[in-house]
Amino acid sequence: MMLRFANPEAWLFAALLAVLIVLHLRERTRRRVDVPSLLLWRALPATPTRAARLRPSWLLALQCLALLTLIASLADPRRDADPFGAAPTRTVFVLDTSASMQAQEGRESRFAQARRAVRDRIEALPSDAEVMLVTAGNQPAVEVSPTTDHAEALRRLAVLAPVDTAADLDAALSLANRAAERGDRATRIELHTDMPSERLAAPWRGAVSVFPVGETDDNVSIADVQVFQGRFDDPAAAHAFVAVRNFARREAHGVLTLRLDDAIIGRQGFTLAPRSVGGFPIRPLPGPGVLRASLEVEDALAVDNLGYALIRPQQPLRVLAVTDDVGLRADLQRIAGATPGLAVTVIASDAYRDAADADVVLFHRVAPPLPTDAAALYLAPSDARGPFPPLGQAHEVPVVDWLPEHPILHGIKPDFPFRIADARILAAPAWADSVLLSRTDTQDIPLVLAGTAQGWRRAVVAFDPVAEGLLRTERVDILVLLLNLLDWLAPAADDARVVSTGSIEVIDGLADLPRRILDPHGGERHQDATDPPVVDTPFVGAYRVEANGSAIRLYAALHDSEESDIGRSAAVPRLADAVPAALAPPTLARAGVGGALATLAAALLIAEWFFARRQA
Amino acid sequence: MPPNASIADLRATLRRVSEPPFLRGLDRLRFAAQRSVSHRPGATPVARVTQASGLELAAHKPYAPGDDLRYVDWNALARLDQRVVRTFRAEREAPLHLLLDASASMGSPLADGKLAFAAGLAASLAYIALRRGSPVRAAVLANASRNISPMLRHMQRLPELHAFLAPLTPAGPTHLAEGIEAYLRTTQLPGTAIVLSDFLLEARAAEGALDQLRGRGYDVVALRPIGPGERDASTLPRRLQLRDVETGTIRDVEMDAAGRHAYAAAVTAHLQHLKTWCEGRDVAFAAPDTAAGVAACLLADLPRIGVLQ
Repeated sequence: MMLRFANPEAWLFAALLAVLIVLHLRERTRRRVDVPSLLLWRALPATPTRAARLRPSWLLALQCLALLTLIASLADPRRDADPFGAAPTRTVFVLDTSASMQAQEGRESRFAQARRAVRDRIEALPSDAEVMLVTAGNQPAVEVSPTTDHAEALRRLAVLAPVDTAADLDAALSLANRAAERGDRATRIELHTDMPSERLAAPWRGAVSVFPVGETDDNVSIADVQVFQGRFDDPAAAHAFVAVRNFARREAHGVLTLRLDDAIIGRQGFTLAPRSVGGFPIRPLPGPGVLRASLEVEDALAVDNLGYALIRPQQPLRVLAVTDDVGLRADLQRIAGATPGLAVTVIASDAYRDAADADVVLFHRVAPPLPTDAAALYLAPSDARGPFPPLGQAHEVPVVDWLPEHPILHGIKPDFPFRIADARILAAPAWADSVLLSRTDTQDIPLVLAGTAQGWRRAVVAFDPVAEGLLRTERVDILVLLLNLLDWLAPAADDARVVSTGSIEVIDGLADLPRRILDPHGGERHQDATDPPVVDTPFVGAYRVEANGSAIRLYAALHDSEESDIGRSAAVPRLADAVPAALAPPTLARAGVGGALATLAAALLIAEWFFARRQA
Repeated sequence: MPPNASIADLRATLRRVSEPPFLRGLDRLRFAAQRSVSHRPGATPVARVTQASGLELAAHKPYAPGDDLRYVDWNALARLDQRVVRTFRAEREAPLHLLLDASASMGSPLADGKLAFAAGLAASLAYIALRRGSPVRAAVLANASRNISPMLRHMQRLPELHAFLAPLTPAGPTHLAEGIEAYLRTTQLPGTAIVLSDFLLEARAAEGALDQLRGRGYDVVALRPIGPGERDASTLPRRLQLRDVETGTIRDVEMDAAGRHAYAAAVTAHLQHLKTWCEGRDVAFAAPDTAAGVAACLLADLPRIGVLQ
């Protein structure tokens, strides 16, 4: 075991010992005082003066000891406990780059504070110590691989910036831990974050030294922007709702500004009570476009003061219904009459040739081959030679499973009242998901299948909606299911999307050509046609993905209450003991005794005060 | 101690006690009734006079041959047919003797200003006495020295007393007994003797000095000025080298809690011993606080012990 000092220059303060001794000697010299007579002083024993040499004094000894202990604590002695003796160490710095680190604490941000702390720590390390730098944004990244080139690490550190997303600390710490698991050096993981340590996953507590930053709770955010607009609704019939949340423990004031495609459509001042939410309904909406809500408010975190929503233009849906059933014909006509934008053309099964410019072809009880020029919906296919030959018939089948996030089921959750009286047992094709499922003791019975085949969306309903009562009041869920199916099969051709920061969007509406991606900060990057067509959205704002003259816009906003709730109690760094990774992963190895020495110095000072008081 | 500081302090005190507003405050004061001096045998013998003469009627006594016929009470003879003569209390001067200790100890601690306080008090007492017609004489107690003012009998001569007191500086050892003895040799007229001293000498010597005055028929008042610097030593540093300002003797002491306690006890014992001794011998005693000022002593301390009223 070897003792080393992290701040050896602190021993320069040892010169104060000389000052202490001089003060002691000076205090020991007697001051001459003239008195009117020594008669009154005869009761005091005479203490003859000796030379002002240093005589033993408990108080002086305690003072010197306290001073030395204090200096030793400042020097930060380290006890290397690893089996490699005086082997160099490795420190993995995990720096939180999440959105909340942008919060201003006085004149600088939390991120700047944390970065400064990391810089100080790196500069204090011995030259042979390895450093590694991991950033913890929505996607953790190793910014600096283990290296002894501290200058390079500091250069990389200086250019880091936070992102507008939540942090995945678990993933970042796992990355760091992988470095600790290498048994070549004793390794220490230091996490610089504003996340409360109690929210750290249990395995990391005690294994990671946490250097917390941040205290203020002064933040107001746009919690959500919602637009209520049906698939077939006109924008004039839509309405929007903005939720603004005050995370501070004091009243907040501000102004909410609403823009539609950059034109201001409303401004509204507000006052929010501490830790409360305010709702702002917006109606009517002047037309389609991108609705942008922004806050003008004096708070510490600006990145969550923005929200987006899309108001779609009305998009007509043309449906070609191929059926011989008079009842369905009548039902579809009634549905089309009640739904703006929905046009239904009904033909007999023997009259079907092709989609005839329809967006969706609906086959009822017939099952011709999959159309190659439109999306298709098969209702109760009965043709044994068709693409969905029925394997049998099931009666009174309950719904037992479903894909809750699938848009086909939108509005039908949470409880399924379905109990299908009569359903065909179909074999699910490879391209289809079972969105709605029933089950017997022996087999699964898919009730609704959906997927993409030959470049078009396809769906199959294993039961006959007409027979189940499509327009019966108590079976409105079947009507909703039918409308959702039509909507999903022919999605609105949006060239814009609203996403949450940190999400990865699949851009599937563009041609397989090289793409140019512009981010909100003006950055530009290119994707080859062979790259996966995905876009990462780490920042708040508008992204534009261009290919072959067409473009798709992404509007990213931060709606994360954990990130926006930035208030933290003032915390002190919690240091973890460092142990060799090879012995006890993921913990690290090296312990400072500076804190204990500081405590000892305080105890000595208290003891000195106590004895001095008794002596006085 | 810088001597000029003491002189300046003393002169400032004398100026303050000379100011008309201060003097107006003293106008209502007078010395309490003094013991009669008329019947003390051999005090002031008057040749061929059988009895004292004066204005204050003392008593009647039966006529005896040889009595002065001028004092026969003829009214009593007429009404009672008894021959009685009137006797009178002698009316003599009762001077005020102000005896100041100006030894070096009276100038220490400097901040207490004991000598200046004593001089201001003496000047004020002289004013009170002169205003009531009593003569005043002041003396500085020193070893066989004759630093004595003339007997002052009129208010107009009060400035002479101020001029006598103004140049005083605390110096030399305390010679209380020798000084009093020397003073008594210069006067034959007993009265009230006010001794202003810190009595910082052996108790036996101080008591002997006061006994001399008592033995010569003086009404004795002992005033021991004391200031906060002398009474409370808590502000002194812990390690001290003490020097006696009169003898130059050096003594090293530790002024810790026990030392402070011992000193405070010694001061208390010193004052208590003086008080007890004086009470046992009909000597008025007070230890006025110099910080409270001359006026507080005149208006509170001296009336409390019956010297003034």
